[in-house]
Amino acid sequence: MELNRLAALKPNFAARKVGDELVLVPVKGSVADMDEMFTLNDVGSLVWDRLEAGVTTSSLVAAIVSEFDVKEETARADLHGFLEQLSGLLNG
Amino acid sequence: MADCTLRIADFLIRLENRSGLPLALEGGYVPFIADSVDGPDIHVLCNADIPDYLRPDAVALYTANQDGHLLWDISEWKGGLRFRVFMPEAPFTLQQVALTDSGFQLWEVYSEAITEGGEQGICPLAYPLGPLLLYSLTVQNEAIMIHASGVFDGNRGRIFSGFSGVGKSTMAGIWKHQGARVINDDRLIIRNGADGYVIHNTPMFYADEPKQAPLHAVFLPFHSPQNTMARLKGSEAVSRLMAYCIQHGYEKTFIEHHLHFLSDMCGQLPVHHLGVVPNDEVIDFIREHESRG
Repeated sequence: MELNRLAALKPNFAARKVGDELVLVPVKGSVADMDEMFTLNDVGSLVWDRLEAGVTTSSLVAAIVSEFDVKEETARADLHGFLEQLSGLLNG
Repeated sequence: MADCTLRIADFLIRLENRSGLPLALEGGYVPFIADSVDGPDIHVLCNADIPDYLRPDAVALYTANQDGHLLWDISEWKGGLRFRVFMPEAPFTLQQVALTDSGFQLWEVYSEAITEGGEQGICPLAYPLGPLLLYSLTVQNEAIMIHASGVFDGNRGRIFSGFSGVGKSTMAGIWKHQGARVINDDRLIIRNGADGYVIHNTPMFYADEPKQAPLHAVFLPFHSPQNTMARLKGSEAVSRLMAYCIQHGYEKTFIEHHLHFLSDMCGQLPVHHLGVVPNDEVIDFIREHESRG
């Protein structure tokens, strides 16, 4: 998983925290794309907030373990799945 | 007509005619002519004829098509923006070119002369430039334009939002039949101010007086075999309403503006998914559910 590449794609989205969730909207030219929105839960929001150049998988796992009181193995598996989804979303 | 000021959704738009030809407004704009000339929100300088140097293609920030043809595009122009608008009924024929600063405060509009009743004139706000100008006002203020019908029953203001075919006009008609005032049955501007959220109509292709009403509740209707109502949580409400807003997604700050406005609004006003059987009973159904909180 290329975290730096994902971080570089972040500016292509507008983001807004609504309650515990984060609404992401792609910045594209077409009004029709306004129907392509994504909502991240609290774990996803945490990863999104920390996704920046230089971030490592280990630091993200540590942040999830610290914030949500889950085992490291669980956090690592969840993070892997989430980043796969996010990669598809950002590259879409 | 020489110069004039329009008051639309409490925005003041000053039209200054520099053309030497009469200013012609589409019929829907005439009821919005205001007496006030104080402190307009934007100035529109109205010129006749489109200079050749404003016509060429450029890298477009945004394009809008209609029936497979380019209707309008936006490109960067000397630190501001250039809008090229083509005639809806005559593809590839320029109707207007508008230059504006990045803050949309000053517009310089060049219009091809039109002939109506044997007399020449210019129509600087001819569709779709008028709505584009209104859109620019909303993104500079606490306001949005949205595909929605809006009604006021003397007590509460409600909007019904969604894409074509979900029943926006049908709902407006049902409420009208029960004595409510229809603000508009297709497109609204919502503003947030000292009096809370207020819905306004905008000039349409037909003439209607300026109307406004306080907004208390938002509904997303859909056809259903029975009336149903379910409140949406914040993120879902924001996501759904984002899709129904009129917006041009080329500019990130505009999208952020809409997200900010809608997240605040959805935090203060209830947003409901509304299954609708299209008859008068849906009104009692809504009121009954609202009274239960």
